[in-house]
Order: sequence, then structure tokens, then C-alpha cells
Amino acid sequence: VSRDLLGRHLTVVVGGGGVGKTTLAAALALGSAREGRRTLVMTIDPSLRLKDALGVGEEAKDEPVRVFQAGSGSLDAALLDAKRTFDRLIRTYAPDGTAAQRIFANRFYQDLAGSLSGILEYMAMERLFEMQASGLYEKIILDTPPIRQAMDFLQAPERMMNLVDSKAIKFALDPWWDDEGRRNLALRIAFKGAMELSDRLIGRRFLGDLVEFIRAFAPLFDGFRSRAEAVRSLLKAEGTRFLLVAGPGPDRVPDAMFFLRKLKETGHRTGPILVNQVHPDPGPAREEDQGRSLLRYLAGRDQRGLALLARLFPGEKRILPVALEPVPPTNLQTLGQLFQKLAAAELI
Amino acid sequence: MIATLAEEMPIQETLELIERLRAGPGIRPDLVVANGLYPALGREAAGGRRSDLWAARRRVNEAELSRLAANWDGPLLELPLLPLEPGPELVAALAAALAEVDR
Repeated sequence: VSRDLLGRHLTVVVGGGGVGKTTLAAALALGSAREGRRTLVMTIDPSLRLKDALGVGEEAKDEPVRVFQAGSGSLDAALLDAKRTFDRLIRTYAPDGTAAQRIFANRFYQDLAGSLSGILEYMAMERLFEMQASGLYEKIILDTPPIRQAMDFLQAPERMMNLVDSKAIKFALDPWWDDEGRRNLALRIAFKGAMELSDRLIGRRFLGDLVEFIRAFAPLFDGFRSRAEAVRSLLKAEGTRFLLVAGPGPDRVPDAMFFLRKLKETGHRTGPILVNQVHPDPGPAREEDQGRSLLRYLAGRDQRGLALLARLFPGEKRILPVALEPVPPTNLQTLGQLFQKLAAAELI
Repeated sequence: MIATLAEEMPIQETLELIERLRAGPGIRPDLVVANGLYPALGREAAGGRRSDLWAARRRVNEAELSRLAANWDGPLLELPLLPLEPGPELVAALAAALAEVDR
């Protein structure tokens, strides 16, 4: 199982919110380091406890921080921060410092960088590419943002390319906008109401900021496009595996299947499916109490979920049940114990 | 109304959401619901490896509820994890618990 989970250069851990993705990614990364690989785990702003467990703070948003070393193996942790990655990208592609400053100072950029749908996902991919290209690591594990719409994440590079090529952007770059983004347009299309309407809806200053932003951004578009293409190829490369982490129980199966189908359709390669937080059977008891009968119910429910999922992959043995931990791992030692359990678990 | 689980990350996200609602649009939630709580421990819970799981998960719930209480002084409703399939029976049981709060 350890080879199935760690045998590739790049592992992308995906799944819904609250299924324990971040903890499993950290445990796998520690296991990889203990097996002697130079390993990096990249995670989006993880839980406080996991930050403590890995012993990293804000500084890991800028550069990877060493959290474990033994023999040839090491573990570095990096926290993904969409805004800082975006800033770094702009410094890389801006023709000069003035152009970069012009973008940073723009109000629209300040809002956009942290909030535009898909940006966080794209920035995760972008940072991954930077780290992969650095050549410092034999094994990289990426913990992804929780995804509601699986496609948001998988299509992030395409969406960035489409944004760059979009009509809206070409439109804004057209010289018939003045610096405040209004007068020439009104003259040109001779429709005063349009600007009054847009004033009311979004505000003239906002529109001006938007146009200014797109113009300042224009020189960066070529760099962005080629980079997004490279990120897309990396995700589909032979050495990349997507590990899906799913919650237990029959209700979670449709979500898991939906995501697996999307991964397959879009040409990505999937590894084992980790079904996490499976309640173990409490076993026979002299007296049945409330807690025990609840655990018994949950164990039965989770077994039904596993059986349902296993039936959908006949003969494949690619489902890895992971028992619910009594206490979530809080340090390297307990993360290591979790990895031991993962490595010893049997695929079904 | 904010719904959460009494586990570390959901509680952290709840606290951040309360703060963002306050600082941004100036909204204060009417209610926070902590759903899916493991039942409180009885005296008999001490023995056996499996009931350790229950005890440990309940302690996680309690620790996170205290952390929530330290940062949220508004109404809080605790809903138990019930051995019921999603469906009318579960909805009815949760609705009964919510109706309690309205009173």
C-alpha cells in the first residue's frame, strides 16, 4: 500500500471539505520522508492543530520550512497563500518594477487576488509548479482546497488561459476607453444610459479600476498563458497521481464517483481511493449503552458505504478504508502512527 | 444560522465566519448549531477499547464546544449524532430539537 500511495513523483490529494484530507496528506508526507525521500507537503492554510503538529507558522507561506529530517529523507512544509503566490507571479512576469507596483496598488487587484472564484485553485497549481521546477524534491504531496465543484479545481489552468483570451479583456484593452473608463465608450456607442446604468450597478470608480487593472495586466498575459499550459501538462503527467479522500457511509459514494468520473474524463490519473473516518465495529458488549449502540450503527453504515463503493470497482482492489482516529493527530509522532496504519491497511 | 460540527477545523471556520460577518456586513448570526455530537459519557464508559473511541470523540466535541463558547456568547444549539438514516425520521428528530430553541 505504501508503494501505491507514495510511488509517484507527485501526489495530489483531493476531496470534499471535512474528510481529513490535510491530515492524511501530512501523514503520507511524513511517511515518505521516513522512507528516505526528500519530500515536500504543500497545504492550504491548514487547521491550527495541524500547523502545530507540523510545527510551522506564517513563515511557511513564503518558503518551505523543514519539519523533519532523518538520513536521506526530509520533510518540508509549505502553506499555500493565493494572494502571495499571485503577487510573486506578477513580480515574475511584470516587465519592470513600476508595472508590478501599478498592479499591486490597484484596488481591483487587492480584491480579486483573494476572492475571484478559481484563483485560489489556480494559485495552488501555480505554486506546485514552482516547487516542482525547483528540482529540490523527490516527492511532492499537494493538499488541495476543499472543492464543491470538482471542475473548478481541475479546470483552473484552462480558466486562467480563457480569462487571458477572453473577449471582455480584449474589449477593455481597446483604445476607446479613456483613463477613467467611461467617456469615450459613451461617445462611441452613443448610449448614455449604459453608463448611467453601470454607474448605478457597479460604480464608476470600480469600472475605472477594472480597466486600469486589465491594462496594467496586459503585458503579463503571455507569461500566464504558457505557464497555465505547463501546469496543465504537469497534472496529467505519468508521474502524477490524484488520491481521492472520501468520507465514510453510503451518502458519500455519489460524490466520490462524480469526482472520479470527472478526473478520468479530463485525462487525469487516479490512485487508491481513501475512505477516511470509518467507524470500527465496537464488538460484543455485556451491556449495550447509548454510546456503544451509536458506534455499532455508525460502523454498520460505514461498512455499507465501503461495500457499495467496492461493488463499483469489481476486482480492482483500489479502496483503502482508514479508521476514524480517536483523537486527531497533533504532532509528528501521532502523524507517524497514522502513516503506519495507512501503510498496514489492506486495499479492498 | 451557522451549522457546524464540534471538531477543530469546522469550529475554527465558524469563528472566522462569525468574525467576517461582524466586520463586513455587520451581521450577527441568530443561532449557532453544533450538529452530530457524540453523546455525553455515562459512568459505564470507562471500559473497553472501542468505547475509548466514543469517549475520545466526545472529549474532542467538548473541547471544541468550550473553544466556541469562549468566542461566541450568542445562542448555541447542540444536536446529537443520531443512529438514523438521512430521511424523514432524522429530519423530524432534528426539527423537534430546533423547535425547542424557538420556545
